[in-house]
Amino acid sequence: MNTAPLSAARELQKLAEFIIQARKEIVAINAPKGEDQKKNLAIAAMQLDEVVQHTEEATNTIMDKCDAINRIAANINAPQTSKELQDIALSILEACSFQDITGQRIRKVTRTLAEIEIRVARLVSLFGGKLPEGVHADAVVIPGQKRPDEHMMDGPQLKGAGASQEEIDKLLNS
Amino acid sequence: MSVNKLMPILIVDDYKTMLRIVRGLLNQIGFTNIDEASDGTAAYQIIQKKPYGLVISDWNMEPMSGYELLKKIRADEKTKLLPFIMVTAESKTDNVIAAKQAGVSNYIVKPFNAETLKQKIEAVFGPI
Repeated sequence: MNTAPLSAARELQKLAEFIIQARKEIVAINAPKGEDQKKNLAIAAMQLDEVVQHTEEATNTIMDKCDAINRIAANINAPQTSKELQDIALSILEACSFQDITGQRIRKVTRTLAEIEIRVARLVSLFGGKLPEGVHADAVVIPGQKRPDEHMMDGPQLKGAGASQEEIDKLLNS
Repeated sequence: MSVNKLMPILIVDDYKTMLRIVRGLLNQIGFTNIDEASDGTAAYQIIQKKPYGLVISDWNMEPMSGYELLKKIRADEKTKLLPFIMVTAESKTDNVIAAKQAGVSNYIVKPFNAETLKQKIEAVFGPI
């Protein structure tokens, strides 16, 4: 006796049950239980934007102090000490570029959150759920896509994922 | 070719902090004639009005990226030989190859230090 049709029917039944359960869970994701619940993703994105802004402000303060160190170093009548102070100021300035990298990484996360929010909103809308205020299922999923080279943008790469400066130099000289 | 430390340099980045860092590093190396632009479009307009000795540009900027700026500079008879160093967090080999094919003079991956910047400028112009 061929049991394939029976087995397929069972699988379809399981799939149907899964879809019904998934629908319930998806609708529940953005169910407006309270203001915080409604805006979780938006708040997370705003918090990350604040992190970028605060680190940028702190970085500028650090760079102001570097400039001050350099001014003092220029007026010191001891060449060795003056040079040491300038080297320290330069090292601090170089380290400040962390803000650019962390800022770009955080913006990548923020964009991902925005994409998740829109995709979830689409599912919720598809299954008849109620969208929270300010969330639109018809928003553009991927922000940007305005430039011809947008598809090439993926940085900053994770450690070990991109080419090192040495590898880049070899590529350029090949 | 030797380096004229008084040559005008245009640095292009959409992060003000990064512009300040690059300017500071260039000052430390000995360059003082530095202008700034916040994206490729602004940079290209500035380049049309003033002759520069070197452009140091980020890649990922809106509305015009550093890559598009590079291609525009290379396509323009007046600026096609202008040295162009890309300074970017994009470190995929595909990006490096694309920049090389577009005619980039050198490519620095962020984060970087004054010594790396100096080496790459020297690679283009000779000893500083």
